[in-house]
Amino acid sequence: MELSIGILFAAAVLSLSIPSRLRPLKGWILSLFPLGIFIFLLTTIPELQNNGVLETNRSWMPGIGLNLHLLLDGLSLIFALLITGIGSFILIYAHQYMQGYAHTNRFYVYLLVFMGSMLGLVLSANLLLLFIFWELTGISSFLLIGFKHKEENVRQSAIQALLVTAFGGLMMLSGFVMLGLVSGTYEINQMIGQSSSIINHGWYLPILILILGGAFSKSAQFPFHFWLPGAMQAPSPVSAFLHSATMVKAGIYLMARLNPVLGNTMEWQTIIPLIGGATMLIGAYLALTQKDLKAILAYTTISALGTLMLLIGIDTELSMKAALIYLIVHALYKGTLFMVAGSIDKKTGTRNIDLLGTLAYRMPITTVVALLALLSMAGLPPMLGFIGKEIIYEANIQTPNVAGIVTTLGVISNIFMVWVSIFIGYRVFFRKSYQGYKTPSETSFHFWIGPGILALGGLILGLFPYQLGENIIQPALGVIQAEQLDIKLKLWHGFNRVFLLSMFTLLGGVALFLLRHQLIPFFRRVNKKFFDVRFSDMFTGFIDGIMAFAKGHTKVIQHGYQRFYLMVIFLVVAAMGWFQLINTRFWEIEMPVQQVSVYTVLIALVITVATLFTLLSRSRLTAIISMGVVGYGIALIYLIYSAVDLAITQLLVETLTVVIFVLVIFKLPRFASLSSRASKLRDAGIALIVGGFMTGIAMKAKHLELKEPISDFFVKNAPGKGFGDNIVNVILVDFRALDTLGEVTVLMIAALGVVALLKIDRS
Amino acid sequence: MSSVILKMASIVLRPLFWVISIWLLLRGHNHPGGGFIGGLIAGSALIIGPLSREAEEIKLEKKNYPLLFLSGGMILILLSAALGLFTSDLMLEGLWMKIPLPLVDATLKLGTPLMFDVGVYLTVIGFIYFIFNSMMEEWQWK
Repeated sequence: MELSIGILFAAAVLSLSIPSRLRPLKGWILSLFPLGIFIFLLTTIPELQNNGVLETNRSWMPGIGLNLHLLLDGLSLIFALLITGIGSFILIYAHQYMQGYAHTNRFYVYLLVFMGSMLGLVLSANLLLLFIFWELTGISSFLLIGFKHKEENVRQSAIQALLVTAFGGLMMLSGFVMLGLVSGTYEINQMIGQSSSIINHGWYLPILILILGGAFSKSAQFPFHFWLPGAMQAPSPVSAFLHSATMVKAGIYLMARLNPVLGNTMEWQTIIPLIGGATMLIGAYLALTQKDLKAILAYTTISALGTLMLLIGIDTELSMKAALIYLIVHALYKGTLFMVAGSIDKKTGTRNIDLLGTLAYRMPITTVVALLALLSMAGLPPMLGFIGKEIIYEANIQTPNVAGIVTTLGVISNIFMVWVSIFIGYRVFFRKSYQGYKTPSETSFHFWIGPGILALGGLILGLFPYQLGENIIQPALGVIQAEQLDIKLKLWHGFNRVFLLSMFTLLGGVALFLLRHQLIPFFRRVNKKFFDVRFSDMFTGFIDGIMAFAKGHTKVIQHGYQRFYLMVIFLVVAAMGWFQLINTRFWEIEMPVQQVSVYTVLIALVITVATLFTLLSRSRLTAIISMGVVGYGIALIYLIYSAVDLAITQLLVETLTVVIFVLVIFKLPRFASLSSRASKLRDAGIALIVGGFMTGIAMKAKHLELKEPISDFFVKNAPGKGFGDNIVNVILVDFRALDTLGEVTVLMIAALGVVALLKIDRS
Repeated sequence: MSSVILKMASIVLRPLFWVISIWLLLRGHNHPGGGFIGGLIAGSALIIGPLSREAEEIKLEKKNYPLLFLSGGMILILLSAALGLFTSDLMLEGLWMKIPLPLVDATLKLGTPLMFDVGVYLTVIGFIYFIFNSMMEEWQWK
């Protein structure tokens, strides 16, 4: 099982090295990988009956509770089958679709990486692992949306999708961490056992909201929905795969997966249906007024995602069952429709429905495929979509407490869906006028085989729903809801309330379609008046605001004046030092009267005089040489206290510094007094403060009472453990080698700084 | 700047600096000296010749030797630091090898600290050489 994820990632790499003779078959070859996994997954169905699972567990970073814990159960299976099954067809479709694009190699890599990550996401039994795969899908989605990265609005959409989903992802991560703190584990299985204590914990609501933030943003729920229509900038195979069939369902998956842990509470059954219902309605409504075929599909996808979220939120056995079936229904028909939209785009040169028409006569196979999918979308028999809608209505009616509202919302959005389905079918395929840019002709085999099989799948599963219920839905439901349920899926439910609602929906949809010439302009006017707020623009404005803020305060803090940087550094350090010195009353220490030799006093005097000379000198050369005197004086003091190594180093460094200084001065303009009197005084003040602080520290250091001075340790151990008699050197290269390593690194960086300073203006 | 005295002196001083620097490097573990001090002297040996000439006369190496010194030193240091990881899981752990010398009654002790010190030596040389070269190069351009 872990192999299957590995295979997809390996395929991503392999896709780059397909020999050129096999290039014309690339899509086919690559599709074998997900297809193989799909077949493997089908063979596991018998094992997964009766709540069986396939599991592998390996520890990765046990310290933070991250394990490579993969688990295949009924719920994962549904998603894994969708990912690999639809994935295979997408690769074949993309093979033809991406002809003529630049960098198709990259495209396949991104797509396969996405496929592997998405599979990993649904197989993860560890929340941290799930998060890693979650973000990987987000990143590959970003790369795929931005595939035509030379266009400005494409980049914009890609960034927007990434920021929205990554923001949600981070919210989700903090939710996971809090959940991990409450339950003491990141293993979902172990959390289920502690469900009641988690639900009663004070952190329950924040945890739920944070995790929902991730799920809502990924699954394009209101108010995060705006990134999904933008994501339609991606090539059509990507829209069909990521942005309708799989990735956007990740949020649904997560909430279904966590239902046994967090579900069945007041909060769950309030927040999720509320947002889901709103999304469902808004998506369906906005789909009506779009002109771009892919945008219509994107908004209906948002509506479908809202429906799924609503069903998960209702949190009854029936609603979960409805959610699982609708999930499959939607993946089948929406994947098909996006691929069809891509084909139409290719053949006509436009996706604007005002221009399209008559395609039924020119692209018959595509039309049949599309009509099958549209039937499913409208929820008409004998498609699986019909069963899906029936069960949704049933679940809506049986919603605890708010059945009336939920059912009404459901019926209204479904009426819109029926309308959109008829509208697309009529406008694109049967209308008698066509103004596209190219003369359309039937697409090649590559273009209709994938969508065709998916659409047929919808039909076949609709005719034989029993198999689906028994083998796929039942094991999955067992995962979400603890009790065993008996799932019997039937096409015909008899004349009951639900059927009446269905009839009403259909009639409503047809009626609205007939009134379209009056209604659509009306809706467009309403939109202009009331819904003129564009979320994506607001988001862009928000991001721009952050950038402007960052630029503004960077300008204040990073002003670029060396002297002010130094002043800030010195003053801050001195202030902290002085605070501590005064706090510990450093003046109260008694300076022991020490025997100081005459030489020391003399050298100290020389140093002081040389320092004053440096400060007051009017010539650069004098200043530097007297600085050298200061350095040599310090070297002599080192010698007096028998620190030979230090003394040698000091002498050498001092000499080299003076030499290089002189070299530089040779080339500098004449000495000029640039500082005003006031700034000189200010600098002198700062120097005194910093110098005083250093003196205080030095005096204080002498009187610190350590139990055992560190020097004793070095003296004791240098010959024995460091094999050296020169303690300084043993410290440098052995005991404190890490410090030296750091210093040498600083040397390297300083060298780079020299390059930057000297050579930056040359280019 | 041109200086005949320095030019003549550098003929003698250059090899002398090199010998002293290597001597200091090798004795460093037991007596005053070590990679840093040795490196400073060797660096001086490298720049003392060019120092005695006008900037315009100095021939610059085509290859970037200073960078070779710098990076070579850094690589040695990191290698010596990493070796400990393989034996004891501790970075920078000192590893020693004792080789009894024939003829003389002594053992030669080689260890990663020596390698580390040689790394420091090379880096310091590289640094001085690099700064000097960059400055000279800059002036020649102007």
